Amino acid sequence: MSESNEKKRGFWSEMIYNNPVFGLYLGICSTLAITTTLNNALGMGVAVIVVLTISNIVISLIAPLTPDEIHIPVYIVVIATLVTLVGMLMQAYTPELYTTLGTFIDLIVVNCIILGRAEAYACSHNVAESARDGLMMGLSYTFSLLAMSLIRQILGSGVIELSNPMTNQLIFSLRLIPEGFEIPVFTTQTGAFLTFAILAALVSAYKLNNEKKEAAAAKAKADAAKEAAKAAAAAAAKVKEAA
Amino acid sequence: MNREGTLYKVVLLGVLCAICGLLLGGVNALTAPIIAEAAIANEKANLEKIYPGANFTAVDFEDESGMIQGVYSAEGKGMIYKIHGVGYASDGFDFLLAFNDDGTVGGYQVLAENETSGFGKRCFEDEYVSQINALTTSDTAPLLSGATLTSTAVQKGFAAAVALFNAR
Repeated sequence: MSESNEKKRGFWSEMIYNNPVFGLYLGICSTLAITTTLNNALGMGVAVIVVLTISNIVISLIAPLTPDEIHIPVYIVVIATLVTLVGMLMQAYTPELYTTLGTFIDLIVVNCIILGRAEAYACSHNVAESARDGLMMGLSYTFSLLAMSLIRQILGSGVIELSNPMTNQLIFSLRLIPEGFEIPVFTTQTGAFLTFAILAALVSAYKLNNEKKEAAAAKAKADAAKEAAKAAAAAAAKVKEAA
Repeated sequence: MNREGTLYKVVLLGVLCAICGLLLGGVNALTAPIIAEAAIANEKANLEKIYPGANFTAVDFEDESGMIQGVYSAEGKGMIYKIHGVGYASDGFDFLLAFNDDGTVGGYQVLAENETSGFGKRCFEDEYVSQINALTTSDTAPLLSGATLTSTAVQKGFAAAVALFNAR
């Protein structure tokens, strides 16, 4: 898609078009694994936003110094350091969240989104652009996690709840489906794949639909321009005739 | 320096790793004490039952029996061992066993168990508890007839704790 189209579409469309999970199919492993509760999704999302934004900034800074042959090890060292830092901070200040997310925090290192954005974007753009890209990618990853976890938690356990990761106190809890009517399969991996497939299909349907509309609009514009040109030519011919 | 030369690449990677290492070391120094404290926070209420008001720290340990879950030192008082044993119920049970600094038992406290009432459960009732409390590190924990599996697990856990206490 062209840059001008991207700009025209605005914030929410960018979330959908450049969505790393449902649009580019990156970072799916952790998405499937941790989206059982809203809390996990938020925690993971924030961790990825922090790592992705800082890694994009650092990598856009050091990319000009890095020869091609060693760029992967350099990027991985940067990313691994950031992930370990975030992991240590989470273990210290949000121990409950750290225990439930477990290895998936460490696995952010090999999350394709991070290295993918470093390779595809940060190494060839300036610091501000890279920071914005990291933030947007992180946000849309987080939105994907939130969508998945909302569906899975509501259908799977019937309750939607959020707790403070620092103190583990419940902030709110709301039962939407009466006890006994939940669909527990949504808390399992099967449910994760089902939810993922449905959401990915919806996103893809929206994109197709939107692209058709955009193509139609572009064609109409081109036709109108042609008509106008014809009319102008005709008018000019008339003027010439009259003269 | 020549960008394409090997030396440049080695130096670049080396410098980068050094910076990252320093950063990690710094943050680790900051967070390690908080993490250690959080590790105790979950157990602290239980530890307080044995040595009220003591200053607890988690201790690193190497346990060959596989039964020891945690070792905590109560400053100036003794050591507490968190032990997981499997008796009759396959889920097993958890208990704390403390040795005072002089080698006598400082406390025996069950945390979670699901043993049969009248049989395995007797290992956590007053009569057996007072027997354990009268022991020292040179003893072995007594067996209970009718609760052989459970008391054997307690006995093994006791021995494992003694081994760690002596190896301090």
